[in-house]
Amino acid sequence: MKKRTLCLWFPNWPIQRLVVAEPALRKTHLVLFRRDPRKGQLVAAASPLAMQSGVQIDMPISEVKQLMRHSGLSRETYRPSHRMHPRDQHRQLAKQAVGVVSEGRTQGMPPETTHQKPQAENQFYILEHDPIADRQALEKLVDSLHCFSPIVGIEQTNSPESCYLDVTGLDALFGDEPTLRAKATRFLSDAGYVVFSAIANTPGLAWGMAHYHRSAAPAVRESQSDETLIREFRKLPVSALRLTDETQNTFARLGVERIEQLLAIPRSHLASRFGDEVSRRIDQAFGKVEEPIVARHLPAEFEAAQFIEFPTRDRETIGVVLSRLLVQICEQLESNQKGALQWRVQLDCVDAPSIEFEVNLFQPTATVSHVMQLMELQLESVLQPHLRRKRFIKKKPSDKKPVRTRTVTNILIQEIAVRVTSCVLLVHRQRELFDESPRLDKQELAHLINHLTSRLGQESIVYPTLQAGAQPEFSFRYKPLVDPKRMRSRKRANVKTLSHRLARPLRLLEEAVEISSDRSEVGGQENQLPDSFLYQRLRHYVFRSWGPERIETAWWRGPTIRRDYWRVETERGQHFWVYFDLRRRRWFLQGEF
Amino acid sequence: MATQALVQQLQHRIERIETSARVDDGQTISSGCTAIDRLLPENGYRRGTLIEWMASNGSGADFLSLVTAANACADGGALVIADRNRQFYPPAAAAMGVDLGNVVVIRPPEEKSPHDRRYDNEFFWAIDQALGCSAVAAVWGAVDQVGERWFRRFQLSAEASGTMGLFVRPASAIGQPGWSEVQWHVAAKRSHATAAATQHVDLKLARCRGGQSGKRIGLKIDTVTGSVSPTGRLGAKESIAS
Repeated sequence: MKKRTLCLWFPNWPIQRLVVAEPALRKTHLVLFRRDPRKGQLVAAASPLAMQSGVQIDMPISEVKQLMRHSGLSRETYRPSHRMHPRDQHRQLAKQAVGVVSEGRTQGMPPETTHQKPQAENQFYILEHDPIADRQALEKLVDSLHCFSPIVGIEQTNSPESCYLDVTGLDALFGDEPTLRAKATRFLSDAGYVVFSAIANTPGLAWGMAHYHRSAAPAVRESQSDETLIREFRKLPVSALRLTDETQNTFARLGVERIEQLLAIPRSHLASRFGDEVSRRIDQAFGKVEEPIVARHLPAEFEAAQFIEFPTRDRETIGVVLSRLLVQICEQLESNQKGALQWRVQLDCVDAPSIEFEVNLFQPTATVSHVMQLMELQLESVLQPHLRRKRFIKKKPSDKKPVRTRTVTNILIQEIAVRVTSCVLLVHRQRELFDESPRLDKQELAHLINHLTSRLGQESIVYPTLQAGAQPEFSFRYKPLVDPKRMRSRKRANVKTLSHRLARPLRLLEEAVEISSDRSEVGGQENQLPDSFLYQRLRHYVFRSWGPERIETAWWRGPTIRRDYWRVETERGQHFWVYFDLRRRRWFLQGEF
Repeated sequence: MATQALVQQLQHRIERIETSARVDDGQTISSGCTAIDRLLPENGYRRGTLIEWMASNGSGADFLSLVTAANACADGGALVIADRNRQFYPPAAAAMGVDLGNVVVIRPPEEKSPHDRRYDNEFFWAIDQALGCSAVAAVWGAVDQVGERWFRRFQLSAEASGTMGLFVRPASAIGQPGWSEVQWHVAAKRSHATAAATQHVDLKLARCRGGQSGKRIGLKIDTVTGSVSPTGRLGAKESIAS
């Protein structure tokens, strides 16, 4: 059976993504910029209206602003604008809905929001381009296309705008290929996307047709034979072969505009001039070289939910239902040889908003008892404000049964859902016949870390990492041990050997304590080590000192910090770490040995 | 002599009863200095015990206790740092030879003030959990105020798992009831004006189960090499690099 590939192209994807998230932007002048280390802020993408106004890709943003000002457009600003991460800007944009800033307001004044449809043609937005968010959004969209084909993949470029669906043999399910294509495009256009599409024998051919042929337009529904398709493809511009910009420019200079002109050039000449890129793309397009679709696999879903017919307030019942759901999921995980790293629990209430909480783990696990223990800890803290003790009164005074008390919640729980939001393959290890040292049991340590984190929070259970830099307070960082985003495991710290093993104190004060005083200065020389200083309500008299050790921060860390560090011994024999701030001309105590 | 032998025998039996719950592989952990080890009944600390250093600021107790903690972790166990006051400085520990890849730090979250006493119970619970974990070799930290009940729980957890608890406490805590196996009183001592870069410490064995309390030793810590050696009559030949 001949392979058939459907290519879907989302033109100007960075703009499309934002416009779909916020339809009010559809008719605005929207410009996305990227940061160039040498040229500053340059246009990365622009909406069709902005392009019509003269905005071009790679144009400096300063020129865009001038252009827009001359066109009589007012710039709409987010608050805070450039200081926010682009993803947050876009989120804020999505939240703003149709609340817009009135035209002509002065800069620095609070925005006057109205809930009317924006005067779209008179506004322009400038946002920072976020390629990561673009890719993530495209991946999410492409994952939703699994209803049309089991093999769906994104084009392998740095800024993808297209995806491929392997539709081999699927025409029978949808009637015919044009129907399949029409359904896919309607599915996307209903969601607000503009999509161009083409079906061909190879991904290369489908990509070229989707990007450059008139038949790829959403409204066009026509079927072409293979021969017609190839004939039409040969008439397309050279760029339909997915060549790099550099190669396309070279062909443009040589006057080679269409693919048929390119095919007339002997292959040996092409290979000597362009390497294997052009030949490979031609062969891929015409099916001489196999081009597999890099398929995206939907993550296996591990979730379970239980609807409670008679909503409950009983704390014990909630625990029992939760443990049953956990057993179900852990069985699924075990059968897939996977362990969960992050769990999400949702308690749907009848008379209150849903309660959600997460359980993050240090190491993946599928052990019910361990996860249940952690969930109980979280559940306890989440339900704490709603819990109360209830006493069950004896029905008859003669009843000999003891009075029971149960813990109940103020809220009625109707449904409990548990979902694994992050899981990985479990690594099994053969246990030693004779037990090795219990200190080497990493599983035990993982349980401890999970346990501590569940109660104290991620920020409280951390590990230290050393950072480059002379300033003592910034020479290390703490990172949470349980962090779902943490991809790499801890490595043995590579310690730069200090000249002295005890050159630094083991206790560094969070904020250095100023110890300068009139009494400490000798002979008016402020940079001379003080004779005495007051610390923790005691006067310490300096007996000996070692130093100075000059510390200067690098220019790229902001204002330069220059300090002279001294180790001082007091009359009582205590050792402290003090420094003289050369900029502020003051003495500080920063550590205790 | 017969009476002495009988007393000794009884002492051993009492000790066995008292420490029957302790997970102990018979190994002792060196303090990093043979002179200190000799003051202890088994020439070192035993696993599953609590050790206290009662010291004033800047007296070198942090260094002495952390050397012991690093020695306890030599077999691959984790080192848990209980950093209640958010003052632990990892680069200094790394310079001493502590493997930071094996360190877990428990510290209050940023939004909580280190002086907020309401966090104490959470913090002590965390120490107790760490002491009860057999994969942890030692729990080290500065603990200012700790109730007797918590201390007892620490002791039971440490005995059950074989984890060492090494706590540096302020001199103001001297005299408070505790459940530590060994308690040192650390006093900073002024060095000689002509001495090299050293820190002088006066160490007093205030409490030691099965040992003789009240013994004293003078130590000097070389700030360049990090070696600890006794001063005075014990002689320099007993010095050992930590």
